[in-house]
Amino acid sequence: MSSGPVTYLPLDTDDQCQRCKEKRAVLLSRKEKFCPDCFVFFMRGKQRKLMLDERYKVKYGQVADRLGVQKVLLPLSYGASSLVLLDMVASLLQEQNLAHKGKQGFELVVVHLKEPNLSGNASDNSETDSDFASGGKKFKELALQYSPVNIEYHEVDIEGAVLTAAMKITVNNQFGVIALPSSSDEAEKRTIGDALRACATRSLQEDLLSLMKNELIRGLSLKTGCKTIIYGHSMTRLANEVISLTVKGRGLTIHESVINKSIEYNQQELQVIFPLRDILKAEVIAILLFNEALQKFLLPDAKPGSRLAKNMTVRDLTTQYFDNLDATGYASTASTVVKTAEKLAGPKEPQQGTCDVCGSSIHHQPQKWLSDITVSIAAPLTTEDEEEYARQYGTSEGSAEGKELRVCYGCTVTLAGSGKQFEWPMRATAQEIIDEFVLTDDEDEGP
Amino acid sequence: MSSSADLPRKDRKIKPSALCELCHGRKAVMKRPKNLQKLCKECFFLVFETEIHNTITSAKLFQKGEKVAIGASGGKDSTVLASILKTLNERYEYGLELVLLSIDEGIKGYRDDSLATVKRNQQQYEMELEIVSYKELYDWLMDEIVSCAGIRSSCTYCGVLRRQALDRGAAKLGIHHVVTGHNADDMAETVLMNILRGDTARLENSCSILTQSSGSPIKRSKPFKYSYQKEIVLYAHYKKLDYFSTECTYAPEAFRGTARELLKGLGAIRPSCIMDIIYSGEHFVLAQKKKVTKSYKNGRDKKAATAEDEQEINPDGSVALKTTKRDGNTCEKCGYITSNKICKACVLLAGLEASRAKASVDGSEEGAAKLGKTLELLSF
Repeated sequence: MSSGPVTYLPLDTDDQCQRCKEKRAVLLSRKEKFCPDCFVFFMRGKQRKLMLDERYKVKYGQVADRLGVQKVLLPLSYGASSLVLLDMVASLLQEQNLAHKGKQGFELVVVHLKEPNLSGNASDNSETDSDFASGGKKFKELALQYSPVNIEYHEVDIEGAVLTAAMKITVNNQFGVIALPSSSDEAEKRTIGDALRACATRSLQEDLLSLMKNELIRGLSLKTGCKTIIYGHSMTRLANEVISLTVKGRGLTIHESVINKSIEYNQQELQVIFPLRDILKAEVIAILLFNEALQKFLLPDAKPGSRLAKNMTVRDLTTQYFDNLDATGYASTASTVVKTAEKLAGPKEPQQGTCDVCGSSIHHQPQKWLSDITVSIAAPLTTEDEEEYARQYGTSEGSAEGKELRVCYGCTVTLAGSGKQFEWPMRATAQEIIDEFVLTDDEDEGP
Repeated sequence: MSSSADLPRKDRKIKPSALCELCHGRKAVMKRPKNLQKLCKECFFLVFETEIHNTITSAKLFQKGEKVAIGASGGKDSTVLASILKTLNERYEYGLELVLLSIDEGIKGYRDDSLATVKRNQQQYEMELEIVSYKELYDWLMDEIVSCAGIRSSCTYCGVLRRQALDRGAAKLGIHHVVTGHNADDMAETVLMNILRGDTARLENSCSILTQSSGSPIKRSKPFKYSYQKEIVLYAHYKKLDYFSTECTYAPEAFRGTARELLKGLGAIRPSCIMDIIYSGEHFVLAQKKKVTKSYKNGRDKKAATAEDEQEINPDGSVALKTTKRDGNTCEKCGYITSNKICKACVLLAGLEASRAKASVDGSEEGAAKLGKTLELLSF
């Protein structure tokens, strides 16, 4: 661990922390030696710097009247980054609460999206099930640490959500995405989890699931009255996201997916912030290491499924790539990538509409682009035998007819790869899930 | 009716699932790397060629009667390019006059063999061939450059010099258009590398199919921009094209290597990823630069340097004269297009000249590449 971005010093080191000059240093990060307290303080500063806006401060008088009660949504996966962000933000609120006699800069709302078990192996998710079936029991224990701060908590079960508006989606040879309404009784039994498991590869599953999560989180922020969403993504994770989006043909959305900005969602203004964007993944892990109370809530990162190359997802591969760069002393690549992404803007061309599947704006004609370079015309048949085969083939398969959807490039390619007659809901379905499947809703409980 | 059709059908019955997914009449022989479609040879040839035709026509690459030089190395990409351009030129009546243009970098055991392939291609495709060598242009062989500058920077030198050599070769033939065999994999790699290196200057235009500049009469284009490397190999294989398949013996570019590895892994789980990356790359748009207010950036110092006060120092230590940089600037030394005072090739060559004296003059005519190859062949 000598060349990584964080170097842990041996326990018997004589080096002192370069900040407080009192305690023994435990690690070397950004060319400075830190004791645990100073390191965590230094890192918290980075989060606070990104949430300096007035709306997150304790407000009095006119400012308070103008801004009202601000609510902030934090999606919590119980992974290292989102736990660390929760700890930082809740500690900030605790400080504010104690210093201002119960007044806080904002109300915190935490949402946990229960991910479907995609490995098809029931034992893999057993831990998740037992921990979360209790309806946020685990979270109540976690939130106690930040008393008297009251944190609103919700869980959404993606697995069990039923596909009511399920559409069978077929992508034809010209890359038109055709929706075929599926027979009603059959569709009602299918859930999002079923649909994802029917998807051809893990990589495509991941893409669809992240679209669904993104939509759910935005929808939930509206439902809970939050005007800000804070994500726990570290710098490394954001760099990863930039590369993943590029690889998935969603490069057009980079400027709105990894940059702090306000977006418009269903006619409402939403602030999206990544408060850990200046912190590397290795540093997040270090922060967690110094916080034993937080560590026990960490959900093991063990991804189910084999590590066979063909079972990897795009994100697995890019994560591996950045891990390798970290280990070989090129940790600065992550920062370069994120900074490059910050310089990107949206397309110059006027918007033609929004994607029926993911909701991103469409500025070009991806179907035309695709069909120009992926031609599907047949070479003429020359013998009678060949013509006979073609005649027989023609009767065995009918052609697809249905409503043609407006779909962005990334979704078109993902759906084309997911297999024939793949079922996936249109974007509007996310709202139904939010309306029906909020499992725990403990906002009425007092502190 | 031919005699084969009289044979009992059952003996040769092809299952519907084994039929070509496009014509449904012939047996599929391959899975198309781009989308895993099962295709017969005939349909593969047709779609592959048509896609390149589409790329050429939608970018309006050629004009009727144009004389076009094909940058030919003897490798698979340029051999297939020559073959396909000949086919398409005849099929769609582009009216092009095609010429093969090869560069002899002077790498023993690599380029001399591949040039032999190009010479055979010349006969096969009945095209004119022009060979331009580094030796005659720059008075250096790549082997000498490597022994002088080291093997690690070999691609930097070779790349810069070849780009210029191609232009000079084309100019010699009075040709204004050079086509190269850069394929989709190369494009995708470049897009990834530009992001990983934060090369915003190249980010927006890294995928343009045609590059030209007002300072150079020669434009270059990449008709294989959307063609997968694997499909080019398959095309060459099924068409039984004659190409040279050894990679250059000097070190590959290290950083490109990591991007290539990543791309290889991604291609295995998402065959469309090469196209997807190019789609992303084609649509990257840089945000307008935010204006930095001088007073904010350097508030205390009222005499903050403005851009006009800055002095540009050239790599050779001289001070640049005040000229506005613009597209179409040319090298003061050789007249080649450059964005600086002196072009990169001249800078590199000047550096080499300085150290030529230090290079060993052991009379050996064999370069490091040849030596490497000989060592490879040794067995115990």
